[in-house]
Amino acid sequence: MDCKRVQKLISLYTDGLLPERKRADAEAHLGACPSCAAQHKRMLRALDSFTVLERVSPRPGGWERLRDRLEAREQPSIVPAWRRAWGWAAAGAAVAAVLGLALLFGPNADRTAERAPAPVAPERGFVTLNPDASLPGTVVVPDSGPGSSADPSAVPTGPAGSALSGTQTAAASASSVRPKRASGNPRTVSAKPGRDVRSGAGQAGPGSLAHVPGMEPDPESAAHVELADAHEGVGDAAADLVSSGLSPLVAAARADADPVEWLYDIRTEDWL
Amino acid sequence: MPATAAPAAVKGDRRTCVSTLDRRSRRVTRLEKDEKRLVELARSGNVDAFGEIYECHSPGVYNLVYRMLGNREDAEDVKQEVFIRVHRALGSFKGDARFSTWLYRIAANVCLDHIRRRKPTVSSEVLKEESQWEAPDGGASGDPQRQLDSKLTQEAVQAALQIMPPHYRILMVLRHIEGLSYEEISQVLGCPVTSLNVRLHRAREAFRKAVEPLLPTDEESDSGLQKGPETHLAVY
Repeated sequence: MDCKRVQKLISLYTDGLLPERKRADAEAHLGACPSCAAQHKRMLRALDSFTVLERVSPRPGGWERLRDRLEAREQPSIVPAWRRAWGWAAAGAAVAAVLGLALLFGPNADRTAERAPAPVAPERGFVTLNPDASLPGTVVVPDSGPGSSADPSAVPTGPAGSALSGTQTAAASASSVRPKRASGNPRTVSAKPGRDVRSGAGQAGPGSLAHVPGMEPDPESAAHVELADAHEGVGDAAADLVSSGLSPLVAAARADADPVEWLYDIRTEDWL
Repeated sequence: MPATAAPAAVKGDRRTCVSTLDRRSRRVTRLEKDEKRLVELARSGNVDAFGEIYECHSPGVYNLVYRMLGNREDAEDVKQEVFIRVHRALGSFKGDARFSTWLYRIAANVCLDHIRRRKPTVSSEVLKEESQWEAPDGGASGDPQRQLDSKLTQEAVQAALQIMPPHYRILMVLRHIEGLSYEEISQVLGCPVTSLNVRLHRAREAFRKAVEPLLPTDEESDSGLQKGPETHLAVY
């Protein structure tokens, strides 16, 4: 038995819990190795100091004090009722505030665009396939032109029956899903296939590309893309949660429980 | 014929041992039955039954808490908190483990929780606070030098426990002060027995390093020089 092995077993040896054979081996090693023997001796001396410890006794009258406290807890009172209600109200307000902030600043804020009425197609607008784009799910978001709607995020993304053609609808639907900037102008964004469960991204198969020339880019839309890029760091687990309709903050919290972990760990007692 | 006499003696010793163990286990079983009955009564709302449980376990819990916290006032408060939680959680006690093990588990959790919330202090004042003892007067109660050594050793042990990390401290208290077995410690702390060996070894090493500088050496004891926990220590 070498020193390392003895060090591992020394606690069991000290407590007399080693099997006889191992105990004999350890004893033989301690007899032959001055270093281990000295260390063991020092350990025994330190542990011997526990033998002089006296047990401390609690103050008398402890049960009477405890019984008073227990009885006080069992007595019904008006104050705890409103305090409890106040605790629940405060917890609800905190949850609402966090969810509101998440909805306000998250990338899903563009859901308003999805709900907006479909704009009339520009007079000279047309839809073409982008020959440069070869990746599946890669779409070209149409730029706003003069006289068109000021908000390009209002590109129709609704279900079939929208004013645009099926290809355009599918492409726009894909663009609403966690867009990632891939190039400058025209802004080519890619969406991971299979991530969208809301707007039927499955229709946007390979080659479903659209381009509407003559529309000016909108800074608000660019900001939206940057915001979406910022949420790329959330991670795949959070991304899945985002695509299932959760706001990114909540999704991030569920993925790695970091930003609002305290929210789930709140106990009602802590509010009282 | 020593070859035949020896087994007979061993057999006889073993029989005595077994009967002693039987008596002891019967006594423990009876106590556990009483305890079970008390727990049932307390669970049904009988305050006096809970009072009996309190009186039975209060000294052990207080000792554990005091050794963990190193402060009598805190220990008194935390002990009360432990029994309030026990009273609240009596309904969840299933009886799988011994009641005392379950109680120690709650006490350990409350202690560690209290230490986590408490700000660490860097002072020897906390240690001195507990050393309110009178110098031995050399009366009839024994050798004053021995008393002094004993008192200094007790202070050194308590000081060493206080400067240990709490997760090692609880191991040392449960094993060396409360005298729990490996199985009982694993139930109290909720860790497997297999890993307890390594953890206990590390805890003992930490304790040795902490207590060695504080213990009076043989030369100091002989010459009357004493080394107390005067140095500034980080107390968890």
